Amino acid sequence: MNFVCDRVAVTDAVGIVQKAVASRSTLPVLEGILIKASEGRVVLTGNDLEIGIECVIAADVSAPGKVVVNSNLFGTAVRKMTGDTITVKMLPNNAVSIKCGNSEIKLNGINAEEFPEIPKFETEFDIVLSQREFKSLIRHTIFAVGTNEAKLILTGCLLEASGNNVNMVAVDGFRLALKKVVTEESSVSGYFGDVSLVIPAKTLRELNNIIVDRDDKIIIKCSQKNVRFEFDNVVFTSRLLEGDFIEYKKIIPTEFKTKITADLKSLIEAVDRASIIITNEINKSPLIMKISGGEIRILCETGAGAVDEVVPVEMTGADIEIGFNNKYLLEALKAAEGDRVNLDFIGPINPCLITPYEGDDFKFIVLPVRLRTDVSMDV
Amino acid sequence: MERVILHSDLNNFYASVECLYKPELRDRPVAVGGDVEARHGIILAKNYHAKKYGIITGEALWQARQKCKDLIVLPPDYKKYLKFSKLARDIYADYTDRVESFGLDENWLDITGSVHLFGDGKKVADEIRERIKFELSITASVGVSFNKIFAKLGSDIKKPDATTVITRENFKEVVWNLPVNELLYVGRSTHKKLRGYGIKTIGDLANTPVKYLEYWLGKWGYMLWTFANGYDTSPVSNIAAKSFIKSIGNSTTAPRDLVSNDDVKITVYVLSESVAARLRLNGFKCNTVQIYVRDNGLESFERQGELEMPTSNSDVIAKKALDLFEKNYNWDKPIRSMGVRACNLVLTGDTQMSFLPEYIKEQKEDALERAVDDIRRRFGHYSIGRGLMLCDSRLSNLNPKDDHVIFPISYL
Repeated sequence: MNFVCDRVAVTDAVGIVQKAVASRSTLPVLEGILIKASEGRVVLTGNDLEIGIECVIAADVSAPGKVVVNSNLFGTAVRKMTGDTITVKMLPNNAVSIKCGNSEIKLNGINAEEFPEIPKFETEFDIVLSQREFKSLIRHTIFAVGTNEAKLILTGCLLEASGNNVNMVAVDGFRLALKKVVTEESSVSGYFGDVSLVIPAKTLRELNNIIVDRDDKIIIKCSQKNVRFEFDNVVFTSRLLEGDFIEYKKIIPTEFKTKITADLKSLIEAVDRASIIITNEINKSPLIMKISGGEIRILCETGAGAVDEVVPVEMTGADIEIGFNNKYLLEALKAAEGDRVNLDFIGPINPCLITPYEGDDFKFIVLPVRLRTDVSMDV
Repeated sequence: MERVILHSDLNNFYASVECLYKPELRDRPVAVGGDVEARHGIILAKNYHAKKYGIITGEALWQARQKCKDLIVLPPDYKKYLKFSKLARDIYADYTDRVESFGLDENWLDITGSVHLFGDGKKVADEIRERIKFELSITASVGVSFNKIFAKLGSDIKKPDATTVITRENFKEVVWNLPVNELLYVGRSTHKKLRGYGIKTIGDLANTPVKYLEYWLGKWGYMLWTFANGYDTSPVSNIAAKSFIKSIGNSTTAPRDLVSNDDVKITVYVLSESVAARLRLNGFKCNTVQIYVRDNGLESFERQGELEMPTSNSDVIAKKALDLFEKNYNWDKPIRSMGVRACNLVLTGDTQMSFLPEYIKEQKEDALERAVDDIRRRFGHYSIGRGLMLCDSRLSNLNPKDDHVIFPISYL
């Protein structure tokens, strides 16, 4: 193997594939990246068996070949070298020579045959949307993903595509986030049914770090067990979560007793300030929202102090007093967009629905906290 | 503002109450002891005449009889004690709403907010003692101080029927010469450790650099050091007693030896119902269940296991306890006593609603158990029960929750 390529392109590519490299593993080969040179191009691959990322860069290849090197060492080496182009050459016993300017660094590598293969699969249809749209789907839902490993299916986001609509949904049991984008062309090409898959949250977080807010396309292909994202010079493969996602449509309420519209920024600031005194697990109590007479009063009292906030709102329907976990409420409001936001309520122990003032881009549901009725101490 | 805290301790509580009902015994050595027939044979309380013979709370009845062969042992009647405990707390409630129980016979009162109404700490303490003596015909000793720890020490210094005031000015003379195990939460093992480092008195403890104490005892070291120096700031409130609770457990010596899994099941359910009811009463859920098993050769062991999510549900606790039991016991010998304990407690707090079916189920069952609590509170413990309890009424005829008494640790 022998090739010459742009040093910055290699550095960037290592930065991307490194996201799929295990930082510490019992198998040294999993801490490495596969470098594979063929006619006119070099493919770098990271694979921690959960996700696999391949990144292609242009190169002047004089001898094809492949080898695995430690990802961290290789990445640091090319980053710290100075010069525009680097020459990578295979030495005997899987060693690799990296030359750039006046420096040469030799790294010991591992036989490429030991590197695990990324699952390959053919599909009949693609889901296509812009990177900007995909990023928005992630950003509006990822906060509500479950963290309980006992409910594995809820540690991922549900992606649904049908016609021009692509939805992403996250539910952790206490709240729900749904984001909808409408694509210009049909999102599902070559297929007329609906598609739904559950993508692990970790995969989405890594993707969110790689893709950028651009109109460039991202193509999603899936099999029963795996999903592949193709964009720019990257192919990102991940396993899917298997099982039945919660039937989320059933838990979105449609009839309400109290409806309000509030200025989003004021509401976020008020909830944020009311959370100041929730300092730890002990100094923790729910935010109490008292909605009446055209305002929301947000009260919170813990061992650290008490906060009283008033936010004026437009309101229809009955007065209500309801308690919330401050974090759930704040994260939902922060993910909301627009100047104003709608909050709809049914009762003090029923879900609260947060929607945009106009349109139906997103739906967030936060379940309340049942406020404690007095605990009596009668012996 | 300087706090004014009282600690009222009803003297020889069980024995004093018993003597009220049987005045002919007043001048004889009397002890309240466990039910010998049901094999709970230990001394729970004694009067001053019995104390003269050196009888100690917690020792076996036969040991006590060796010290005093005329000792009159009465079976405990918790209904009476609960009644008197309640009457005493009604008196305290005339002076403040900040009353924290510590067992049936001890209470802290924070009267900081009412001194302008009733006079200073000593005046209120004396008045309370007089009223208890006059209205209940039993006596109390009361400690008055600026924190809970010293108030409790104060009530121990002079007994019976006395008030002891410990101030910021005099606490070094009054408190620091006392043996260190008089301090609340210095139990047997902590005392042994401290003795090993040459710490004999509370003053020794107060003057030991806190970093050594932390090194020897962990965070308790710091806690005890603040206690000894009068820096304790823990509040008195009618629910604050919870903050000291680390686990809730019940155990019982069965009226007959348990010989089968069915026997164990009845006993475990009786104990678990009590543990769960007490968790709910105190606003806790547990993450861990522990069992204690002692066979009729008096060999014992403990095992514990984690729950999937915090609970105060008796069925969940009992199932976990039975699971632990079945995995760890092979019936070499019949069983004499068993215990179930809920540990790793979290405050129940407010209930976060959920979409998930298991949470919804848990919340429904919680509501069911609370309804049972309410029925039992209104109509008595045996007014409602599981069908299982009818299988062997001798084993199930037990109400550990109401029979259970929390002994202040410093008394053990």
